[in-house]
Amino acid sequence: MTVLFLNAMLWPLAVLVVLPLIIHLFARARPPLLDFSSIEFIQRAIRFTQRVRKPKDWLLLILRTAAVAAMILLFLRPVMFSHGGGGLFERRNVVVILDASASMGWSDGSQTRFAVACAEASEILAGLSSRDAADVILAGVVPRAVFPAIGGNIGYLQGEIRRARLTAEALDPEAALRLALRLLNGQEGLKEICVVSDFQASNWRGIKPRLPPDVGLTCVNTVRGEAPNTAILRVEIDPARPLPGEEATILCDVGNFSGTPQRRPVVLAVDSARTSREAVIPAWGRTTVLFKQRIISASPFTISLSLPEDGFPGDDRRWAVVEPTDVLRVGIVAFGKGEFTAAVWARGCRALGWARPETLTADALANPETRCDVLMLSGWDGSEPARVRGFLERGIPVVWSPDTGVSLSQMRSVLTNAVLPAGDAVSKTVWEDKPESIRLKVTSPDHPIFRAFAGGEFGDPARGRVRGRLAVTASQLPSGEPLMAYADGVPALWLCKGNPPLVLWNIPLDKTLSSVQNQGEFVPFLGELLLEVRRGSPGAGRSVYERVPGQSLTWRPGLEVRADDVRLKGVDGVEVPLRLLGTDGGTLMSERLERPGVYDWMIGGHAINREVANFPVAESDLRPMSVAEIKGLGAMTASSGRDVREWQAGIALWARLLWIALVLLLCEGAVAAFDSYKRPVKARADSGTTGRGAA
Amino acid sequence: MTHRRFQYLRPEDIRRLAGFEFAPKAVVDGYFAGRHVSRSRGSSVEFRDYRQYVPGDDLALVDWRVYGRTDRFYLRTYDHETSMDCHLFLDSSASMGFGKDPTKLEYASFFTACLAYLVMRGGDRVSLQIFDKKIRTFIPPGSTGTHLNGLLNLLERNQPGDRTSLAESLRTSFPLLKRRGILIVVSDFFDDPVAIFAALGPYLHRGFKVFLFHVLSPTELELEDKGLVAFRDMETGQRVTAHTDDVRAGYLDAMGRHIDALRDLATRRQVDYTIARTDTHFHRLFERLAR
Repeated sequence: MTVLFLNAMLWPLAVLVVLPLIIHLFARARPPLLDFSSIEFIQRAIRFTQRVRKPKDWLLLILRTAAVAAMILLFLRPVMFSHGGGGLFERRNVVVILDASASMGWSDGSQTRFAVACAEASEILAGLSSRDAADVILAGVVPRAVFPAIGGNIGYLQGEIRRARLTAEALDPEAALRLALRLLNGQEGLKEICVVSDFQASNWRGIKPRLPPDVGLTCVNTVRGEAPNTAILRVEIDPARPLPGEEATILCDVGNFSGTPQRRPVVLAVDSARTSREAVIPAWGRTTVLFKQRIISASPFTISLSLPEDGFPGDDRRWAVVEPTDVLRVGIVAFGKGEFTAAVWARGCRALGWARPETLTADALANPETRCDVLMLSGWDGSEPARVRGFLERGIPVVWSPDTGVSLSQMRSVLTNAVLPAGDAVSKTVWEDKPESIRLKVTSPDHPIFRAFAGGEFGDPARGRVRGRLAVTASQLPSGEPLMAYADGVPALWLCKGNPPLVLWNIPLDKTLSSVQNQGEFVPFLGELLLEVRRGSPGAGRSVYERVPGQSLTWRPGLEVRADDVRLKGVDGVEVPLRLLGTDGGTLMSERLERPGVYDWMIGGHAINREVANFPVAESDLRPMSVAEIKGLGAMTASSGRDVREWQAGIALWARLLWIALVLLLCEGAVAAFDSYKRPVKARADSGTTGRGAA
Repeated sequence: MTHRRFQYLRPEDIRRLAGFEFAPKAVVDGYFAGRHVSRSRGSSVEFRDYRQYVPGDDLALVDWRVYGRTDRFYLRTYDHETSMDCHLFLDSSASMGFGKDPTKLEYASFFTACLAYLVMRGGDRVSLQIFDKKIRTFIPPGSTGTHLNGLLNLLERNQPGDRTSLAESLRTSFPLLKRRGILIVVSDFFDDPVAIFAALGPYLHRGFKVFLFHVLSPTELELEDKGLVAFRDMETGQRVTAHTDDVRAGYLDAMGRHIDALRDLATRRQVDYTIARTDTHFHRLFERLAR
């Protein structure tokens, strides 16, 4: 903290501070002489009152001296700088980071956090002098600076702040700070970064700004009070690409960011149809609401889920595009001896009608562009498990018929890349011939795969006999549950835990070893297996791919379409500008999306493709960081732009000193007058007699 | 009674005193028959009581009616009325010089002169003792005009003297007073109240009727606002600097305690105590003494 005096030449006036003391001493030195009949009572009074008078005298002297000192300082015009100092004489370079993310749209009923932030930012800029330079960064997913380089046109910056619009973007604090540092780099004088934000914990927690020692960071928190909020956080379709006629599950996560439980109706809108479910959401918790939707055709359609509007309406609605598929693409890869099984799988798929087997090569597993809805591996020895794991990570379920000699560690490494105990590496599966054919049995009849067979009209899925198999036990396999097993307990169909699942197929389909593939129940069973493995368990389904505001949309329309004919229609029919990417010449890219909603790629007035941009989830939790956490950023914290302005431009103390002087003088008067009010004068010596009569 | 114009006994005072008669209810010893009741039995019309006859008694005093009823000799006794001695004690210490128009001593001198005149006009005798720390002048009891002249002349010549020691003066003067009577002390009583009443003890024991007149100026009672002043004690010359606003409350409290102590002791010892403010006319004080 530094204090500068603008009228430093008046410092000699400081000697006047001893004036009260001199007057005090002078007044005591030359009092007029008064002959008095007896001073005995006066001496008694002085002895009595000295205990009170002495402190009172000292207090009066201190008050008077302080009042005079305050008045002298008043004329010296002091200015206080909280940090740094010297701002009066040195050029200041200030970069104001104005948080324009979606969370700043919270309104307490009178104004939004963003409106407060704009006012505070403008206040900070107003404190700069003509020789100072500044810039403003509107912070969102991608920070945008008003000036490409820091400049001195403060009025223009204030105008830009007035014109600034709130975005629906998430905030990237580190990107904003990096841009601010880049703007300040190479500037002469004081360098300061002022962040005006709500310091939303979900965005700012964990941020460790690495600032050079000559750059100061000041945080102005615009949060005023609590901000209870409910939001739709996630929409999932299970399965992600349902088939026509299939009943898809729509899962909707609703979050409650307040300290009290909430009860909210969630409305699912599909075209003009609306369905409502009531959600009871615990305090600071979330709940999942399920809707069932029968898929009528293979045409894509849009669904929206919404909540009643609250103080923060941006996150009360989410959209999703459901893209049904007319056929289920089953990628089948045959390795070595697995061609018999692969051929039976392919034949079964073709028999289903709605499943299209696509024979893939082993090299296709390494290509991330390989598309299929279910991957079936026959005779794979478990080598290069990362390739298969990639399919699982992309949400594609895998059915695997292992080759003889596959180690148990290889089986597990498909599900996880963790290093396994050395003992597992030598523990390999072995083929076991059964001269006496052995029967299969359903071990989990309640599993959805076997739901269709529960009534008996489709027969017994476990019908058929087998004369050879891999000799494995349940304890050797990755954690999961057996769907089918042999009569002696050896797992025949093992569903590994995971989402999407990995199914281990230990049923030989070679006609010399098995009669299962010849049974009439085989094809329905294969169909049920393919349908069900696509479904995740509730709450753990695969997210619909979606964009968020601040990002751009890209689309490759195809060679037969001219890029100029393509339009992107956004929310409320507003057209979003497009540009052709220079890298491949055929991909269109939109400007950054400003609002969440449905965006249609149009050619000649017809919607060809539809995409949605949803509210960023991180912006829904409006809780700010604590003051201690903000200070943990290595910053000064201020409650308003005025504070920052005073820190930067200094606080003019003369007005306060005037008040202090007046208060001191009032106190002095009060203390001086206190004694006369404290003890009423006793007037008992004015008259009165006593004597025998009175006695 | 007197033709010369005295400073402390002015004709207008004499005229105003015409309506007063000095007659405090006191039992006195006296040589001459007078208006005051004596403790000695004598011949008067005031019946006192009966007592049995003893040889040697005057037969004229025997109540023959009682003898006729009871066949025993009883004597009727009567109170003996006598003249009264009034002893005036005037404090002339330096502190009595305090005040203006009049000073406390002037005020006390006015009162003393008028009182002496009033006593002698009733045919009683008056004595005067002027004291400070000791007895400076003593005029024995007398009731003649010459005696009054001498007393008035003495008052006019009197000036404030040394420190006050009322207790010492009272102790010293006790042997000088041959007969009991009335003792009137006019002083500012700047002495220890307990010591004063200890010195008054022998007088009270002997049957003196004691009147105390506490002469105080308004300044002493109220301590006017003088600001910061150096107080100089008129008796000791000692100085103390204080602001009147600061010490007023304490001073008045101390003065009040002193007066309360004098008043309490006076009540307990059946002594008449009166505060005489110099801004009130001294004639009002005679209401305590006259009937």
